[in-house]
Amino acid sequence: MRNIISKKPSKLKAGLVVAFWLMAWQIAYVFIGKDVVLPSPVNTVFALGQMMVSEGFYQDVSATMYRVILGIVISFAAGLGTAVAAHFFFIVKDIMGLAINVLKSTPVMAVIIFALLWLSSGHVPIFVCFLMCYPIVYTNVLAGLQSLNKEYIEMSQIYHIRNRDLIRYIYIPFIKPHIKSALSLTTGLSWKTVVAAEVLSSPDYSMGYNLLNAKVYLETESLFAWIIAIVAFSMAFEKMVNRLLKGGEMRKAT
Amino acid sequence: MIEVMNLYKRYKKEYLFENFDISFCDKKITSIIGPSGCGKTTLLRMMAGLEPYERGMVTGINRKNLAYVFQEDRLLPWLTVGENIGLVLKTKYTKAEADQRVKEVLSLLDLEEASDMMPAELSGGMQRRVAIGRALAYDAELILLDEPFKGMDDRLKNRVLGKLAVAWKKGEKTIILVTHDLEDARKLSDVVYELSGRPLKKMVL
Repeated sequence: MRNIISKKPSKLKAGLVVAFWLMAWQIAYVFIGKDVVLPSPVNTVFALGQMMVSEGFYQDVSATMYRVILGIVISFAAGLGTAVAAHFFFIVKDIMGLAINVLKSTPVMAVIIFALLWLSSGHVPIFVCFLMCYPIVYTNVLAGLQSLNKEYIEMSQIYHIRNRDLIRYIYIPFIKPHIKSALSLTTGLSWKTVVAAEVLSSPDYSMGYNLLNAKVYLETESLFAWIIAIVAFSMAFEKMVNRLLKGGEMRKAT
Repeated sequence: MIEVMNLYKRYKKEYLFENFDISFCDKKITSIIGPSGCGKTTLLRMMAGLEPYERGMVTGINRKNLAYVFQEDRLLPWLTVGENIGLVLKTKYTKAEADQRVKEVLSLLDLEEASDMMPAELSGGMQRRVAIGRALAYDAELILLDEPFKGMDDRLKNRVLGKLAVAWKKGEKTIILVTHDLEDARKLSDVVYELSGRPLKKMVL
């Protein structure tokens, strides 16, 4: 049977998909019949609207976004630095290898609880975001450096290409796709980890703390509204990063 | 005079070079021929300092001023033809001088129109010519050419051979050419060595 919705993405298709899920939500709401367990889509949208015009909303959003961006920036700085060191010094690679494997298998919650012992509530989400994103950046950049063709390095040795040209014309083009891939992977993850850490560490201004408050006071509409806001901001952030990455490629192509 | 003396180089457990000597006259073109895998490329790589050897000596080479056309073109895929050649000139020449040299060498090898093209847009033969052009533009005292005519048809090969001869006459450089084709070697060179056996033995043809 032929698909009634074409495979080509369109605004109409996206609208239909959203409408389908809203309808499913409304049906579930009618079926359950308890606002505390599942609020209606209309009430949730209303709560979201109220939230968006409230004074503290953008302060909370900016604080969370600041933590996400700072976490990503620190993980990229550390990931790039240690991956470059690991590429040139085997001892660094061996030492970091174990740390990266441990970090990759450590549950986010364990990291958050551990960080709560050491850091102030505002810094915990940044630290957790860094620890979760860092292995991705390190692994991707190191993979990029190791994919570097030895033949080009030999060519640069023969022709005595200056170090700054070697980095600019040989190293960077090789690791660039890997950095882009790391950035794309970390943008989504960073929001999840920052909000999770905010829920547990409860800093003064944060989206996560509001999520926790809504749950504690059984304001389910508000809880859903915050979830929608977090997902929307996370998706918008990812889209913005992807657009920036694509923009860079387009500029290069032209 | 470039001299390789008493050279020892093991490949796995077997000696590829054992007490091996060879010499190359300055400002002459010398060819090395021999069957595939006999060790011609390894010899060039050892002379260029890219490959270690167990014992022996290589004298008469200024490794700060040599050019090498590798068996693979080794052109950076993200740079244009002109940029690929220009990149190796940055340490030796000013921007204006480098641009001029790029133009000259592209014109010598009939590649003027390819200057702004990416390597992937070129045929195998054109890519090979760009690699040769990069070595010629570098204006080194010694040029090592490893199978430079690979992937070229006879007509193109003869044209490039002619251009190489012109470039050599102009600069009177020392050129060492590795090839498996005796005819190419004879056309271009003053001396032809044949390498064969294990450990390698040389023979002057």
